[in-house]
Amino acid sequence: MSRVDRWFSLVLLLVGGTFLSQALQLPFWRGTSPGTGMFPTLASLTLVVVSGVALVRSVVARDARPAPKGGYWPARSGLRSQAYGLGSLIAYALLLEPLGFVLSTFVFLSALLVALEPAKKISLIGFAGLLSAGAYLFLVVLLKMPMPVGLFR
Amino acid sequence: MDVFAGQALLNGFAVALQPENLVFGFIGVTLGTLIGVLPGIGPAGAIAALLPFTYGMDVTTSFIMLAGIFYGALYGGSTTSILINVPGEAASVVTTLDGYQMARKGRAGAALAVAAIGSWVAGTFGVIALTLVAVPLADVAVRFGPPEYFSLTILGVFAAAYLGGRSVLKGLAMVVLGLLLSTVGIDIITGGARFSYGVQELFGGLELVPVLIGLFGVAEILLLLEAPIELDVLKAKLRLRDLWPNRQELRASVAPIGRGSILGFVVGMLPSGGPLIASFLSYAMEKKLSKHPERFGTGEIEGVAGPEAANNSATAGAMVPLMILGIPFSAITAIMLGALILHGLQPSPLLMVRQPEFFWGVIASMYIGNAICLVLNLPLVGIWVRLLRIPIAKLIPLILMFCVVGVYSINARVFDLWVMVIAGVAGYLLRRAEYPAAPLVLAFVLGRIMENALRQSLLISSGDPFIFVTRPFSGVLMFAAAAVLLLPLVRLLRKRGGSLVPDLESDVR
Repeated sequence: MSRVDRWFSLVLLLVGGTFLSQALQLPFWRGTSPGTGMFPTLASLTLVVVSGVALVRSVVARDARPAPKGGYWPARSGLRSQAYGLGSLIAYALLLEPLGFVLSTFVFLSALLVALEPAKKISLIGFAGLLSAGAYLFLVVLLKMPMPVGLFR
Repeated sequence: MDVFAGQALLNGFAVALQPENLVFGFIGVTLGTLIGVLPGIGPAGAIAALLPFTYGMDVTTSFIMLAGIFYGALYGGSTTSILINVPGEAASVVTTLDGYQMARKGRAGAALAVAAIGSWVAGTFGVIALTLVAVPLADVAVRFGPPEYFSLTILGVFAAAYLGGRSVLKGLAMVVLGLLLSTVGIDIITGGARFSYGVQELFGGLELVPVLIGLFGVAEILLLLEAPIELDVLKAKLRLRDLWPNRQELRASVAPIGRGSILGFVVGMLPSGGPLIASFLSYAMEKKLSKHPERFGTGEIEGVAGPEAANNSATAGAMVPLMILGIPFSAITAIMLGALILHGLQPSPLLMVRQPEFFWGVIASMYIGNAICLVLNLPLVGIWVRLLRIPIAKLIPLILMFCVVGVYSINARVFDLWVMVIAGVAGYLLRRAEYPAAPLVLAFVLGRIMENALRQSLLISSGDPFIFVTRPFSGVLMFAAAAVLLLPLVRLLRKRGGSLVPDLESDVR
């Protein structure tokens, strides 16, 4: 097991512990029937045990795998693309209701297309405009999906 | 159960041949083929992303489309496996071993043809088998009570943990995490809130679709962005007349297709069976049965025919537990169960009696869909090859847009978008650390069913847990579940001569 496994085991142990502490406050049994706490208590206890075993193994394992070639994390260019992707997605979620579907979609598509292929800014922004309009016609007008109107209220 | 399968199936064809169902069935298999052809985007993510778009549709129509995506993707996945040595989706990975080698020898057309024909034969066989087992199996399953359902779900999640990835320990952790996430929200029996921390949007529990789209859609995109796939499409021009195997190749394909069809259907029915496991088992079987096993990996037609047949037949097999028992045994069928629940349909053994037009309509549509897939994948293979030249950087923003639209349209809540983003990041990190997402999703979907079955069983037995082993069916299922869980430990003890170093990691593949 690797260093990454150690961290993940720890995180899962903490998650399990958090759920367990909450579950123990719920009734495990009520009269002759199981309470609301039984299932989550058993499940969170199992998670604590399994992740605990994994954590101990990751610490004491004699045949720990070496780090993969290139490290655990993606190359810088990959991280940058991921940051653009995730950042654009978060911005899209934040802007969807204030700006409305069409405008926020245009902003999102332009930003991400240009970020991933910076050499062709103008054509990509035009492409994003066409896609946003097409998405509006297809999703909102044709399929009648409930999308926010935003600034066009 | 007084159902005559033949008559019911004919009625099903009447439903499947309705224009709306035909159109959306065609859309489903086309989309599925496209998703199968394009590497990086799998059918699970696509089905999850398209779920919200089916709200306005009739439940039969939407399920026909989603099922079409499922088996269509398996047809399409073989195209990229053969032409560029990159599986379009996971279950086609085995096809790269011999399919690509055949392409390098100039036999790409023959490989594609055998893959498509084998898929069609096996897919049709699978649907026929589904038709035949549906009524007898439902007759048995209708006698299932809460203990049997609990045992079945336990077997399902344990099998998912065992077969889900490289490590049983990691698989088990994901299963239990999925079960825990399913408990978030108001308990339907007592009305008490659990793990909602006062957040109003969590009172109803975590919505299935944002979690699915996050884990399978956004996480896949983050993986694609990490290292874009360089596609070196073979420059060979594929003409229609090249798309035919010679007599020797055809003769050599017949038996593997037959064996793969049977094996695939049986494996598909099993907990965590599915197309991927079926294709691997078929490859191993063909290699073992071959007079020249040393030639496998160099371009043997049997190495394409058998696995491609098995993975398609397995999709029909996977429908058996979902449609007849109401229990999904794989991540994709768990997503499809989500689709049924969203449309207000509760799958159970009585589904074929209560909703015969849905049940038999879907089965009939699979006959039609398989035929459409054959046409899409043989004469039109050139179109799919051209699609591979579309830069993935142009597709990613479009896919993310569909994910956002799909999630937002469920409840018109930005909160669901945050759930999707968090699930996406978590899913990406879990994949990097080799924690499998499929067991988590399966457990998340089965969690409520499992908990309700457990509580009802203990209510019936006045708290006696032995109800799960004293009832015959339940006892057998529990024994199987225990065997699945303890098998790695037994194998380890035999290997290490009794040492109790708790190494539950086992390389399944």
